[in-house]
Amino acid sequence: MSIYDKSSLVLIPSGTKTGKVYSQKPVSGDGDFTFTRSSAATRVNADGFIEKETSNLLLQSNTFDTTWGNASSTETSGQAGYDGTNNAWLLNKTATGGRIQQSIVVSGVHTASVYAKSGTLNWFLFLITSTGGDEGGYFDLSTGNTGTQFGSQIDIKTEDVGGGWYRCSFTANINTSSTIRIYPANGDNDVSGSGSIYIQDAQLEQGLVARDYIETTTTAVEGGITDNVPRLDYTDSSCPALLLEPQRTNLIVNSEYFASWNLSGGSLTANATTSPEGVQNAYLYTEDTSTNYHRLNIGASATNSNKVYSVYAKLADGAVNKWLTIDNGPTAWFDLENGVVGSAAGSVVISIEDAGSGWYRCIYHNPASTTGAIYIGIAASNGGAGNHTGSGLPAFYAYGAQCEDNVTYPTSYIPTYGSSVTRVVDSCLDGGDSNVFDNDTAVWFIDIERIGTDSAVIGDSLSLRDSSNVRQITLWFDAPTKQIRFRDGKNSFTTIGSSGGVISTPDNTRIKIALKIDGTTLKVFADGVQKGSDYTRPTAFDITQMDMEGKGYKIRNIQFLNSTLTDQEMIDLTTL
Amino acid sequence: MRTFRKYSFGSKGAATTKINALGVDEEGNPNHNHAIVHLGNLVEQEGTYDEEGNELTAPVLSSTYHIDVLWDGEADSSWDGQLVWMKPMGVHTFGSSSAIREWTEACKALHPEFFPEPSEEL
Repeated sequence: MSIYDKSSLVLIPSGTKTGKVYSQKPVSGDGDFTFTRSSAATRVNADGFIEKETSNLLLQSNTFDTTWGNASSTETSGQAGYDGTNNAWLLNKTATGGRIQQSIVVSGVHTASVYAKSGTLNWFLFLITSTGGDEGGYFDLSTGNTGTQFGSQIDIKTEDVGGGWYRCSFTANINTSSTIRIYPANGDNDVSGSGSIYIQDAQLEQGLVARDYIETTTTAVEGGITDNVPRLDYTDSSCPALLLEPQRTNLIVNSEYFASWNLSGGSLTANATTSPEGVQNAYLYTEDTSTNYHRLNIGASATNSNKVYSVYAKLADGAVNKWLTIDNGPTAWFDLENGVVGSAAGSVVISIEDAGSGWYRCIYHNPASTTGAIYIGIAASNGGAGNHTGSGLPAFYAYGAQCEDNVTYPTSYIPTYGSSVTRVVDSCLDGGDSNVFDNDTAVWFIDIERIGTDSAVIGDSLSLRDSSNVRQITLWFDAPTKQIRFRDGKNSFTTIGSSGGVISTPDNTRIKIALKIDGTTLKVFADGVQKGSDYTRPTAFDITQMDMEGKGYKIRNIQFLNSTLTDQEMIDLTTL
Repeated sequence: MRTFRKYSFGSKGAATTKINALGVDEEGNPNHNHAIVHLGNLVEQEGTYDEEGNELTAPVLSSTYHIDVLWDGEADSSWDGQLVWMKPMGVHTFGSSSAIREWTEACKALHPEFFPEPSEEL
């Protein structure tokens, strides 16, 4: 009989839904976990892309005669749409300035989009008005070109989707209270007269690009990795791991909108290439030819000495200066051509992670930081000066900058669009019941990878509890020492296996560990050996559930057996 | 349901006392399900720095100590005396769209002056 067959609870993370992580065994569902995280988050999905929350903040996104107000216009449904349906609308203006509009209360970087096609008119005006001014512009539906533009929008574009239809969008940093408007237009910069266009599927979302359309009715809708959606993370693996992270805040207020940063020695181009998110929303930094610092910088309200900065960067085609610099006081260098770290000044610790397609996440930990500011620039060589004579050429692409304060390691990317944002802790609780767990003859096996170690994650990572939620056995995370240990919650949290039962857990290193309960004797195994001495428990356990707290780790496999194994089987089980 | 609110205290100690009253376990860790972020003394005036990033003038910080709470359920009414409202632009939030929406609507109801309506004119 295999270990799997002997197991009463098996969790190999693969099946989830909002608020739930499914176990493979028992098939009754009694082993399923309740998952909570009261915020959105990101993960690396099966395609290797960073996946975010998606949203449509408009109401009645394709019902233009409800919630939408109008002025001198009529709206007729049932028109042939871009997607083969009859869900498009004829928007007909009867007098100058005829339009539809909807009030919105949002702020920060947003992208508005709508599918549109010529009717009796070839032009329309797509606009967000606010007390801060207008943003948007005119679109020519006969050519797919844009016309007169308003405000200082970040990007404006059309996408030809066939059949005379275009997805028209613009991206802007908008104020709190605004109105989104659609005007049929007689020509560029001309909303006089009368006439019609066809429209379908309007959307307003955070970020620099229009993503897949989400239909809404009476409320905004979120999708993707939104609140309470468990994260199956595919970083560095074709097999997913359940990602459980602590609460973290990204203190950089615009993590993707680099044009809001301070710029020196070069220029920026929005939406210049495909980012690690798999959409075209990365910025390009191009050096000028001045003798200057070639970099951009932003402040962050980070006040503690330990700060971790990270940014995704990719070398631009034709770049001659190939070393990215990150500077929060001491400077560090990253080789974007070969994907390796260079040198780092002071006590700064750096690392680099391959994010695919030439992208690297460059990570900078300053344990003695005295400022919140971060500078990201380019240098000619490892240790080379930032204030060099620029090449005048494209240098690097950037995406997803992050500052995490009072920590020592980075967590998954937290996008921000005008304010700092906190991702809340992941919790995966209440797996199993009294039928699943035996207290005297059992094996608890865990395939785990710790993603970082600091004082914020000391404590229970996984625990077996009784029906009153009292801890019976815990897997305890220590810090700053990179180690974990099983502890007996019924005996003053004594370390099982004594000092030898402590298991070394280097960051980002997968390890297989198991606890064997054979009557009153408990043994710890890890990496194919027994750790420490046999432990005699003084008080019997009463296990009814398994909990996992977001302490910064990934789970690839958990199994609980209501039978024991030989020591050799335990060695085999925990050998990588 | 989660509820996002912002609070201001006279000192970090006063904030910590209030937070600890929500519950801590024997190891001093929170044993409640509310999420709390210490914003601390807010920057009221940015510092200035030279090209090397060296501080020229220090930032000016608020005398009050600020925290944000994402309540598991309704906000604790005993905290209402410390509630603060501000224009929802450029201020810290939790990454929960539904909680941000509820907070924004509550803010607009209490402080419509933070939400000036745009002109109807093109």
